[in-house]
Amino acid sequence: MIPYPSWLNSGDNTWQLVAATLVGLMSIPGIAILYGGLVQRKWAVNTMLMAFSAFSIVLVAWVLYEFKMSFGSPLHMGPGILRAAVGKPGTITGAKAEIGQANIPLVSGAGLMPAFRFPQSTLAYFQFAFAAITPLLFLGSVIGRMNFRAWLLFVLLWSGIVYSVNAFLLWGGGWWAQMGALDYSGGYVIHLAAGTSGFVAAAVVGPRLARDRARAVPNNLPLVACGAGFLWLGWNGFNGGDMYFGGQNAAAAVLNTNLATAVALLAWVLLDMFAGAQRKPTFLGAVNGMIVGLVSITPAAGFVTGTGAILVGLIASVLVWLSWNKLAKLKFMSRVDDALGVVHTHGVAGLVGGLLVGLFADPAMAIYYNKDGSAVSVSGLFHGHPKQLALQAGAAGTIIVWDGLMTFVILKVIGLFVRLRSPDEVLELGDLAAHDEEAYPSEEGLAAVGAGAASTGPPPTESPASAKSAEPAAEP
Amino acid sequence: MKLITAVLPTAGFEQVQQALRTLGIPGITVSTVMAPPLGRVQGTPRFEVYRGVRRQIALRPAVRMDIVTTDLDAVDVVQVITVAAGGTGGAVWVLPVDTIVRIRTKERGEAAL
Repeated sequence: MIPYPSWLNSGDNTWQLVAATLVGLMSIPGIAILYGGLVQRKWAVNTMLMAFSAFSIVLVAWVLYEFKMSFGSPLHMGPGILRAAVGKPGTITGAKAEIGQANIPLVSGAGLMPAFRFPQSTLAYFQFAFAAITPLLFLGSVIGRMNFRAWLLFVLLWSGIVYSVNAFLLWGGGWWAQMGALDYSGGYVIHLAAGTSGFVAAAVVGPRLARDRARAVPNNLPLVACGAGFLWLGWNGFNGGDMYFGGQNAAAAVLNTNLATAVALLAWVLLDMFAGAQRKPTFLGAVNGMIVGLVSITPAAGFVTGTGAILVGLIASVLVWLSWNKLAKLKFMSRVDDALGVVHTHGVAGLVGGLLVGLFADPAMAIYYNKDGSAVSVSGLFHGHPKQLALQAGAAGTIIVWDGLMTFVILKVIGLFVRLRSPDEVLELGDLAAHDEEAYPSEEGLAAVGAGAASTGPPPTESPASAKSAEPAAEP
Repeated sequence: MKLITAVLPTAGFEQVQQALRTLGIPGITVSTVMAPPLGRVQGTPRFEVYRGVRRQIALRPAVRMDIVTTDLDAVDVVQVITVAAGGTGGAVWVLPVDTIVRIRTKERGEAAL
């Protein structure tokens, strides 16, 4: 007997599954507790539940139709970009789809990369983890007021309509990939997309209560530290898995990712110390800098050298710091209640990183090798290929327009059937009104009722007066 | 001198504090306490459910404010609190105060206010 077919390489398969799991840990618990700790105490449960639910929705949609839309055969809808903008939907739940060799028809079958050495289920799970984290990232824009039901529908529709197109255009061998636009690991497909969609969604859903905006203090910084840590180290799988083999480029991508992140974190802390309004280093500033570094190196991880990674981290951190501290103060920006500033730390950072690929991509950074031993690699403006910068800008424009427009349309349609923003009565109480749960309930304040109650004292019954005042506040 | 104590739902505290600041009342001690659900929004019976066990909320976090004033000011302060907290509810009560000492300056009585 043999354990697996000859096309399978256990090292590559193992690394890919580990990388996929690392990316999954960035969402659950990473983003769930990072955002759960950053929001006001009264919204921690709602935030974490939205994260866990979105993660689940995307996986089910992913195997039923979305993976094929993102990485399947192209759906020819017209000339130009429409010829290869999205894949034909289809399931991947059959035995052949799970056990057979992984394949992206326009990429791995077209000789642009070596044949995969792991099964389709590995590829599907790895890419699912990316599809799942994207809605979780823009959750940070709409927390503290979005209706839970509307969130579920939004994630389902956004993921199928918007994400699949992003992924197909750049990773599934779609039009922008054919033109030569580069996104190593999701600077555009994920982060620019999350920043854009989050900002538009925040505008359409509407702001939090004015009082909540004014007093938006985090409830648990140690929890933020845990979430941020999951993100950083989880990113080793995020960027380390995207060459699809446990090879030299994966190793370089991991080192570059950590390097850019360290530089960006330090740059943000130093900016806070010497240029910030308070002239003091802050932990949440450091976390912002860390995220900016991770996001900005994402589109570039294995395309640039270590020097390039340092520059990417530094430039992105300075630009996003300015965006966060200066641009955010402008009227049109502050009118939109992007609760956790996703448009800066993910949108601007992803855009900057993607454009810097067009400058710093170094042909010496071999991604794959040809049979004759020559390297398969890419180069940017500083290495004699100025067109790359134009391609990066074009792809970014496509993502911004498509994601912004469709987020608007999807939310307007959902808004016809479900209210996007919870009523003010719910917003005033938060988790307690939306879920009958609190992140930090008080033992003293609760009296058990119903079947599970201890038989001491009379069971509290709802008085007629309270039944009359049953307002829609109980609606999530 | 009078001790004025107000227990307010957290949502109503800010307006009251703002109003008192406008009035020029500097000395105010604030603590978080547990109180029966207060006010319009909190007053609706609420339940929490953990692992299938349903519990009625008997006590909620509330804000307690303690202010010591002269006899003359007390009436105004109570009036201001009553008006400012009108939208959210709560309770306010007044007690007589024997003496007050400002420790740093050793001032006593109304001079210490």
